[in-house]
Amino acid sequence: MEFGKTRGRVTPQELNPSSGPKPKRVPKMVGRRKKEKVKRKKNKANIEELKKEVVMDDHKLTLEELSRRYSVDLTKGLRPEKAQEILDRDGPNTLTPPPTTPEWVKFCKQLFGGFSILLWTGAILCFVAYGIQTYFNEEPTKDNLYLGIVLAVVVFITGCFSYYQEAKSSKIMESFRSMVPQQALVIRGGEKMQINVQNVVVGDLVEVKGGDRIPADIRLISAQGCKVDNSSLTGESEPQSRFPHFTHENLLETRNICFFSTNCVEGTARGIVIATGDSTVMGRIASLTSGLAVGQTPIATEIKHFIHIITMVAVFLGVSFFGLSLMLGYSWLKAVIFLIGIIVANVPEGLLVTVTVCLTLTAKRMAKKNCLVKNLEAVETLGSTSIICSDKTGTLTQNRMTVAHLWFDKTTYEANTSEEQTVNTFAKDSDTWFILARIAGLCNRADFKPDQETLPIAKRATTGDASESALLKFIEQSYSSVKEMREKSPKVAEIPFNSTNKYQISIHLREDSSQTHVLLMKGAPERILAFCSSYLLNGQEYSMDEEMKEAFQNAYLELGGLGERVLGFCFLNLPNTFSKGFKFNTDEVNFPMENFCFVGLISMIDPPRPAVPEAVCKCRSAGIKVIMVTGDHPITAKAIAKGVGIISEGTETAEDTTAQLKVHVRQIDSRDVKAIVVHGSDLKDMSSVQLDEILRNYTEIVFARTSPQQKLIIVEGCQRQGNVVAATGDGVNDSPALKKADIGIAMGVTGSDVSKQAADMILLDDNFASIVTGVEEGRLIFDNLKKSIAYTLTSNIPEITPFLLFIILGIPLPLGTITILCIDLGTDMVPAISLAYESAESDIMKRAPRDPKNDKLVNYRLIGMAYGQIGMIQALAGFFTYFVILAENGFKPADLLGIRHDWENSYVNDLEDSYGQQWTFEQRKILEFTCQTGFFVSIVIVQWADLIICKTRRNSVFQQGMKNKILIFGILEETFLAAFLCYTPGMDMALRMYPLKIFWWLCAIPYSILIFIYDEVRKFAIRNHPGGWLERETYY
Amino acid sequence: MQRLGPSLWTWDSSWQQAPATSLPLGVQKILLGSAFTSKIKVVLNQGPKKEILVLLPLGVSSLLNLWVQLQGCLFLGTFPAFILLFYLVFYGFLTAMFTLTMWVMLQTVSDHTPKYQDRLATPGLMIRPKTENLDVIVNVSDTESWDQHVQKLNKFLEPYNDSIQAQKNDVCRPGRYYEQPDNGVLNYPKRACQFNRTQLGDCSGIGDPTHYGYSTGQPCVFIKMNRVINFYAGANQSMNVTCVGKRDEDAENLGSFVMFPANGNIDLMYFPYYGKKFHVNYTQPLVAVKFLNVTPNVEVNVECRINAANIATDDERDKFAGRVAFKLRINKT
Repeated sequence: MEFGKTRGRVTPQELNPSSGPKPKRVPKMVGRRKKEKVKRKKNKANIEELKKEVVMDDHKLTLEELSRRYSVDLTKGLRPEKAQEILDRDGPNTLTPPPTTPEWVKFCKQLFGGFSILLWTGAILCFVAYGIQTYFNEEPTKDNLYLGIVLAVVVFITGCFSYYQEAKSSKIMESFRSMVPQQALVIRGGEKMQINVQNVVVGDLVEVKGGDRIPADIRLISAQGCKVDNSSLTGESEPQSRFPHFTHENLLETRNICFFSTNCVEGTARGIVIATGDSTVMGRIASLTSGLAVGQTPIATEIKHFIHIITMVAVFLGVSFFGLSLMLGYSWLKAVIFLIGIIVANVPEGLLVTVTVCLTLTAKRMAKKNCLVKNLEAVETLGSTSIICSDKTGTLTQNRMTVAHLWFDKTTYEANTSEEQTVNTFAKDSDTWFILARIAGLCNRADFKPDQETLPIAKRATTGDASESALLKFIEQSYSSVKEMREKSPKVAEIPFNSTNKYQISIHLREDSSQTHVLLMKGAPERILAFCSSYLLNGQEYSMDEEMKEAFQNAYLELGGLGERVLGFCFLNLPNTFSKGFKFNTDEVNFPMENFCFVGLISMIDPPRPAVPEAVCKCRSAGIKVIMVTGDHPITAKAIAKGVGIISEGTETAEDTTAQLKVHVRQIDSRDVKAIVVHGSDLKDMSSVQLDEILRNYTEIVFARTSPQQKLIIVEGCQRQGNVVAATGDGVNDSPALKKADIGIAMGVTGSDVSKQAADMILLDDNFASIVTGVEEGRLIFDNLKKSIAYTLTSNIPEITPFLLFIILGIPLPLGTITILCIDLGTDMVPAISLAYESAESDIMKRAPRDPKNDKLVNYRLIGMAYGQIGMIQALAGFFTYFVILAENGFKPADLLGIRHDWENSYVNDLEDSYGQQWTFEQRKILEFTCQTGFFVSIVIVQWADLIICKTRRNSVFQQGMKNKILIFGILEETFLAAFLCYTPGMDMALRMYPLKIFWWLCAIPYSILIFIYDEVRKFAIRNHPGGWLERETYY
Repeated sequence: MQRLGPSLWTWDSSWQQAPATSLPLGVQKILLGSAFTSKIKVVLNQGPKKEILVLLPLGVSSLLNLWVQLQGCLFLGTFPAFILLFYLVFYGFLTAMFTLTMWVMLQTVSDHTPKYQDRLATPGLMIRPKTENLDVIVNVSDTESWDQHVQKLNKFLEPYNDSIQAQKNDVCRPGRYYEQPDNGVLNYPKRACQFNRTQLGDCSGIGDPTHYGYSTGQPCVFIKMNRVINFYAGANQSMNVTCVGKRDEDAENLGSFVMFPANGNIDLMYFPYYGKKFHVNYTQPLVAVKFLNVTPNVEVNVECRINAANIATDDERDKFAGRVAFKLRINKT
């Protein structure tokens, strides 16, 4: 059995959180171990290195330097021979796939991991006992052989089952993967050629255009309107423009580098490949991910703890009865057989199946609620989660720009940002609004993709960038059809948006028949204002004054402060001189560019998903800290954090407080500040102690502008505090954090393959709210597993005590191996599983997350309850039935003591009972098996009561009700199964179970009632004296 | 005050007023007053001896209050002991409950007939001398090999001595059941019929120098039928025991034998049996088989069965239902 685990060592087994077989320890091979150690160290160093920021300077070089470094001609590219040479040297341009575990290893892990070990040990002990028995020809009973075989079969079948379950979810995983071979356009020896992406080498001159996937890390040397979508790398959904100039020290921020496996959205660009394959930024992240050591899942730890307890109990019982049987004068051999028998009897055969099925059921239920669980054990992990590190874009937000506010007529109007967007309420009758809407609709390059008339406007796909699309949709929705508008006022000229101008101008023919043109403009508000000399108020033009400017400033600041992207709008009616047919020249401007009329502002935001604020609130009441980690700007991040409640209402960051009180940051008592926005660049300079302090002292934390590696650092920081951390993410950049977190949650819709690979769970609808339902399910299953285990373990006592008394008192065996198996693998199974369907006793989302150190799945109180209290009552019920059957057939209890020797002797065929009658061996064996059947039925009957009391841990059954239909079915099922086993003709041959008189069914009922009453009283005391002695001793 | 292990209960004589149960708890000690004082006395052994009296509350709800009180600082160190106390009470109660149900059950069980006899529909057969594996091995020359059999048989047949039989039992009319119905009043004790040792003829062992034939290699084996209460064996028809060799070669090796009483008859008058308690001097009828010329140095499988109208002897599983199989081996040099 594996009790400890080496951390930090990277083996394929450990990449899977379920505990794998123990690495073989061969003391002789010191040399090899040493080597391993060195390797381990090296590996660790590598990972530390990978965690650091990428250091490269290719983006700082001038083109000449670049050309020299890679000895490449910037127009003709590499010579083909040279390229081949480099290809041979560096290898193909592909990511090394993470070392996949072979199927048989996965299978073995299911077969020998965790709980199975206990059963295997039991099976092996059985075979050993059988071996001893046959070798010494002692009592040639095959019970031990059968038991061993059954145990092995149970583990095997359960192993197959869970393997099948996980294989099924990994199959769903595979369906996500798209296997399209990629091509790249390279220029070699002056010739353009299409080659496979894996043949691209460092120094290659490549050309990319809109729609291409970037084949490697590229330093641009020329670009025309090139924009790339880096979302798979950084999570930022906004396409970014790319040009050859060096703009930022940081490789990830600079605009002249395109990254491997990101997408070029529009434009074209040429560049030199500076890194391929695993040395690309993406490659480094991928290898960082696969190199991370992953800890055990909480449930695996719990099961290990459980195995400890069970083993201790088993060994304790076994050894003490070993001693006792020696003292009673049994031979050594017999005592050893007894020892093994007792240890094996302690193994709860059915529990493995029960736990697996319970987890599978929950996994299924979660999948229905859009949480696809890849690893069965992760089902519970979510329930123990105490910190969720969530991504912003796509998880908390809808991942689409939407118009949030409008400002015109010196008033701010709020637009509806809900996902449905049914009604928009603002001053639609203002003339200013008409003009604003027309500018927004006409001065806009976005358009709907064709054939989407049936879809709601908000769901339609568009061409063009996010903010223009947002405007387009908004106008289409709240004003009128943009298409008609554009048909009526055709565009005659346009200056597209660029980052130097920061505005966009389009000139349209006026709608009325005046044959003149109107110039429409939108752009950065301060730029727009600079062009204006007048403004519109309720449709009337006024000349610009200071008051208006101040109002504008305030509005701009207000909207900007909400983290929204603000655009300004203005227009100019061109005079008659520019009538129809005038040739507008946009390069050398031949039309007026001043004295525009300012109309208003429109601000946009990627709005939070509607269900998220509620979900965050639920998390908070459930004691789960939600930390936002995003690559976005702090202001936007903070605005969204406030919007969804990560920074709750009324809580302010130190900066807010300073701004309000007009005092310096240092003057504020940091203890009063509960919220903080941490900038990525600050995080970079922090020591882990400082990070720990932040994580400990602030309840509401937002990390903005973080790099992928920092997300990992944050996750590790949280784990250092002893938290169980869930991390969400969609980009490749998130995958190290996903892997490192106790449960990594990837996005099913927007998530990249790499992130899905690294995650334990996939949110099929990308919605943060689904996590909360997942948490709920996880907590519920933990509670219910406790109940299931309590239920299953209880019957262990009535199963063990017969054997113990058989040894000590020398009575005929009251319960045989077969009947034990009938209970564990037959009648107990469905009721135990039915407890997985039990609804929560109280609002499980209103209590703090489980403390993994103290709140164990199986603790001594549970064992005390199951073994010491309920189990004992059950055993008495069984023995009572046993004695009743024997007494009514002629063997009174007093005459049974010490009868074992003659009873078991098949040559004694005239054994006398209490009435002087004489019994043959077979006759009394039939009686014995009838007793065992009776014992079995009694256990079934007391298990009714046990099942009902296990429904709740604190509440009365009368409060909880009997709404669990599966549980009622379970009770009926176990009863019918027991009756079936008891009365079916032929069972006497097959399982040696014999029909019972009806009265014998009733013997256990008083005990059943006793169990029920006792536990109700116990729970009553617990409820009425919270924290009292009884609770501390018996509340499991 | 002597300190015992933390989990031991002991009578403490230092508290003189009444015998008290004391529970040593490390440095603290709790004395439970005997039932009539209904007080719990807590003695703190730290420093100067202090005694604190706690009134034992009455009723369940105040018992629960007791548990609450227990978490007070006074009892903080006393935890393990209290869980022991709890279990002691709990198991005490369980024992009482179990005893009660057992007592009720035993009240319902009759003294003279068991409630169910369906497992004993066919009485089994058994042999004497009883050997470990039901094999009668006789080394004629080696006295010790059969002496133990002889000893056992002597003892077994002692109650059949004619004198004892005549003294205790009735002479009954053969060929019919000796019924002694209760007729509403307990007819107790029941009388038994005589089965005299002399009926066993050559196998009676009376004045027998051959020791039941064991010294001459012609051993006697006694066959008896298991007692079953109220069983009317034979269903009013005569019955007898027959023996054969199990297989053909066994039959050959078995040779001839004689049976006592003649023909292996078992008389109806020995039935029915009324049970140990009422049928005190009941003497089980026997059939003795004397094997006259068993082929020596060969193991012979013998099977004897009873031929009675209401006793089936073909039970597949129970090899002793109405029959008995044993091995016979006479070793002669």
